[in-house]
Amino acid sequence: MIKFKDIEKIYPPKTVALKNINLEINAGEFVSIVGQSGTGKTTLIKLLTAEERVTRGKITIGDWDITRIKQCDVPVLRRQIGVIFQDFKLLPKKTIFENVAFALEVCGATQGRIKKTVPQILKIVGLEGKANRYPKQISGGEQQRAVIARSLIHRPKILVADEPTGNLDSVNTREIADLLLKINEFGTTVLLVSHNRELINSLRRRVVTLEQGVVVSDQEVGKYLL
Amino acid sequence: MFIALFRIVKFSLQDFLRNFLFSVATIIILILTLISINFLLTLNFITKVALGEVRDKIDVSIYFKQDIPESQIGNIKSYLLSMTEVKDVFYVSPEDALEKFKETHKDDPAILESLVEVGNNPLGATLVVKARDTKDYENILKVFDDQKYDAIILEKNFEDHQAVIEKVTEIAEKGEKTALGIAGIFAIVAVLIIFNTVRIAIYTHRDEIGIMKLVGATNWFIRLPYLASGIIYGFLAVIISVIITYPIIGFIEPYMTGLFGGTSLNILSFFTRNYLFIFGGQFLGVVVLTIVVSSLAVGRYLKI
Repeated sequence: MIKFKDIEKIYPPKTVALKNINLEINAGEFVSIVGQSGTGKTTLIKLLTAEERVTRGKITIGDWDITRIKQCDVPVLRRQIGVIFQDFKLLPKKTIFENVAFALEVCGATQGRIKKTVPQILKIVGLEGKANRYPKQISGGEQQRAVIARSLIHRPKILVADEPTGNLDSVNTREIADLLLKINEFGTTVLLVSHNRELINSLRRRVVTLEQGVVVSDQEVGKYLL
Repeated sequence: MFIALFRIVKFSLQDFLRNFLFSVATIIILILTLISINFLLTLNFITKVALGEVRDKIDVSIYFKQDIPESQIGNIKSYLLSMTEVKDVFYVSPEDALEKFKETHKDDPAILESLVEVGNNPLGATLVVKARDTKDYENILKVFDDQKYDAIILEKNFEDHQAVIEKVTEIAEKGEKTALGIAGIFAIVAVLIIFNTVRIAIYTHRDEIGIMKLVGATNWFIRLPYLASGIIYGFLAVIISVIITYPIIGFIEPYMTGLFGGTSLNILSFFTRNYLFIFGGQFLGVVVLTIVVSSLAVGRYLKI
């Protein structure tokens, strides 16, 4: 379970990004975080991956308080949270196979495990035939699938998707959404940040709405309100 | 541990090959810098040889009056040899001095006739003194300012050489200072070039470093391939600069030997004798520099 308790994030000098955030996300839930640009959605995700630190409050994942996480523990945390970005963030000089394998290599996985696991994951996301291509040689939708494959390689308990469909057309958006739902069905907690109204409404899952850094709505089977 | 080391080397080599043009450009800059340093070393070596040659040709002669016993001159020679400033002392007997005089003036019949008129050998013995340093001549000859030598010494030719000695000393000192100055400028330029090259290399990788951090790479796992790249760059640059430097020196050495009137300079053997110090030092320098610079540059992007 992820708990955000009385979270406040202020960027110097006085920009309040998040204020009084209290959220509990249960294991296996699919939660969409919506809101207009600049309402603090991405900041919330960055606090979870320790890219940013809270100004006040406490974040826990299970029993692990990550609020004051030590720098040396950050890689350990990031290996347990899969992250998907709008701009893909694939390494351009590595093939798709190498990009996915890289997440395993950094934590010292053996070559045998890499050779076994990466093709399996690529098959799950439908990229089995494109393992040796470089990111610029495949479409945007395929790049996002590659990112999903990389984020799943550690079999994380939590998957965070920050505007994963922002750069995709409607067909690819639907495919990515279906993939996220499928991943959630396997028991992974999914946090989806988006302002794609159609997508959010079609999911029929929990929706948390942020406005000016504050949670204004939290619905079990929600809709995009704004 | 072995897996991590293998991957660091693998990433480093992969990065080298996939950014081939950039890697080549970096290595070319390093090679040019190292060749410049080698050129400077050669210049410094030639200057030292040249000054050594000039210094070697300088000596002072102490002319003794006639009929001074050889044993007395021998005592003075021994005393001079005991001085730390003195490198060597040669005794020239009156007979040898006469022979040398005749040889020098063999084309001057008037002088040779006057020698015949004088009859016996008018020349006394001479001590030729070589100092370890040109600056030492003044101190050595001060010994003979003592009045006790007035009765036995006819002349000491320090005054004749003083101007030359001072000039050579001045040239030597200026030469060394200039060489040091140029070496300093080269070193600063080299450091700046390497600093900027590595910084640009890492700047182009800043997004990649960010991604590595986000997928859970530790800071060391990110840093080490750059450090390994520094070692690869340094190794290749030194090897190639050696391959280029040796033939160039081999080509210019005969011309330089000609300039020095046939005196063999042995520039190649100077490099070969000191290869560990010169090329090892250059390798170490490049590696340490790239490691320091890359650590500083990577550090900026590791704060994610």
